[in-house]
Amino acid sequence: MHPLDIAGIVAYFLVVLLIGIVTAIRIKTTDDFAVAGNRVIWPVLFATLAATFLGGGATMGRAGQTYDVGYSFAIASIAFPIQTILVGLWVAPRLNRYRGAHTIGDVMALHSGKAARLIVGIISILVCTGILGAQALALGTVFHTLVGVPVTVGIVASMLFVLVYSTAGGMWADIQTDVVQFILLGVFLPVALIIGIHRTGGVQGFVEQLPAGHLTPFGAYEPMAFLVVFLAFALGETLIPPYAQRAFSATDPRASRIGYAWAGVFGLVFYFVSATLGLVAFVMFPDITGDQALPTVVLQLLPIGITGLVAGALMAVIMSTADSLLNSATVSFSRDIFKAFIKPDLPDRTMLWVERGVNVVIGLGALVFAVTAENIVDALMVSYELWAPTVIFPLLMAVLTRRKAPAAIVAAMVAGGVFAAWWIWVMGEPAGISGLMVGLAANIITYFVVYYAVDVRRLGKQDVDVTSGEWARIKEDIA
Amino acid sequence: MIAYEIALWVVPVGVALTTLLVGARGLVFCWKVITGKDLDAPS
Repeated sequence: MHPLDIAGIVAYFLVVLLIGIVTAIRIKTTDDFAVAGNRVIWPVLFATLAATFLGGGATMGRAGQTYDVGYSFAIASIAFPIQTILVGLWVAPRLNRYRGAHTIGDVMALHSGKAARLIVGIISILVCTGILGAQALALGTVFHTLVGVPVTVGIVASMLFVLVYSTAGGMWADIQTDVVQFILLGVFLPVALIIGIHRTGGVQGFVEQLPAGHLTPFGAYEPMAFLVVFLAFALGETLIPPYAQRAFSATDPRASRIGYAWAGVFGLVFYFVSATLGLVAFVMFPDITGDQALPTVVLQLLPIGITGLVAGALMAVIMSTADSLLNSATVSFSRDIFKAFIKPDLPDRTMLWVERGVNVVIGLGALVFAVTAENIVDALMVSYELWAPTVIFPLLMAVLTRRKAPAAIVAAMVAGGVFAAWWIWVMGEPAGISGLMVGLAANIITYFVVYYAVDVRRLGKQDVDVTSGEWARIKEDIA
Repeated sequence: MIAYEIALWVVPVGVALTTLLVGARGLVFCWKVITGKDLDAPS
């Protein structure tokens, strides 16, 4: 890599580090550390959410899959940004009304109780740590491919870097570095696409060199296989902790709605950019593998100077996702486990230092797993499959209906998790039906059965008022 | 072909311009945070 390109990457790292360290002095409470003091305006929410959900999968993964099978995979994956738009319009503003909430566990505790908080807390930590480990591995691979350092060195250097600024500045640092990372990925990956298409001979030359199968919307997918991929993208990551935390962190429900929904629109269009970069690689480099598609375009097609900036953008894409997952795992543990069950009466100032300590431990743990025990990262990623069948439907019911459902929420989460696990790991997902479908069906049915059989009989149809004395008491318990 | 011409120019240029507009507002916000000036929203 040319020294000018290296200089571009170094400049990016210095700016991000500077933001993290300078921001540390602003962090005075756990509200600052977890939800940036609920002071995030909508353009910043837009940028931080887009930078968070556009990770390695949405860039290198999307380009690689499109290289292999064409636009059909990218079209199945637009379920995710569509879901983000819908959540932005109807769920994010309602989540934002739970002022003082830092985690989904806080919301579930209000609608159900401590058992629901514990279950959601454990799943949140496992899901976030698993994806964090996977992002650490991806960071090592990107460093190795773009800069030439060994994968282990790449993982250690980049994760220590993320650890420093996220521990010092918490959510404030994450959000501000996300803005810088958003600009890098949102400007330089489209620039890379324009240059790439020019190098293939312009739009007409580019399109004519692609096989027809790569341009068809469904490609070689059978309808059931397409549905499984579509559903996995629609529900697999819906409202995982980093996204929910961003909905909480907005200044008001309107900012939450606008920032969240527009980030979804941005994702929808951005997927087309990263997928088309995969097709540029297909035309220019037909003998590589899909996972090499985007790094190869960056290294081989772009001019000196731009290469460094796009390489920085690729690192930014993954680091902005990793820092958010690290912060969410930390906040979930501190709030839903430590504060709720181990040390309920710690003062907020002490709790802030507990969160910083937990941040270091989880970050180092993910780093060590990524370097020495990829099988642990794989094991943690297993929990990712349990998010949609357990948490999403009870959470949506809680937020959209405001109903109190102490038994239904817990029973639905347990049933969804058990059925999904049984279908995936005992039955082996027969007939192409995914564990997500089976688990979600069990989750929904159990919710309604237990709600009407137990909760309505015991409590009647009782609404939760987020301004009620009850919520104030829960906030006092966890504050 | 015209549809491809439009999509392959409008989408990347649109994404980059949107990013610059939103990012500029975000950077102003970050600057206020870093310098400790009052933010737009109440605490």
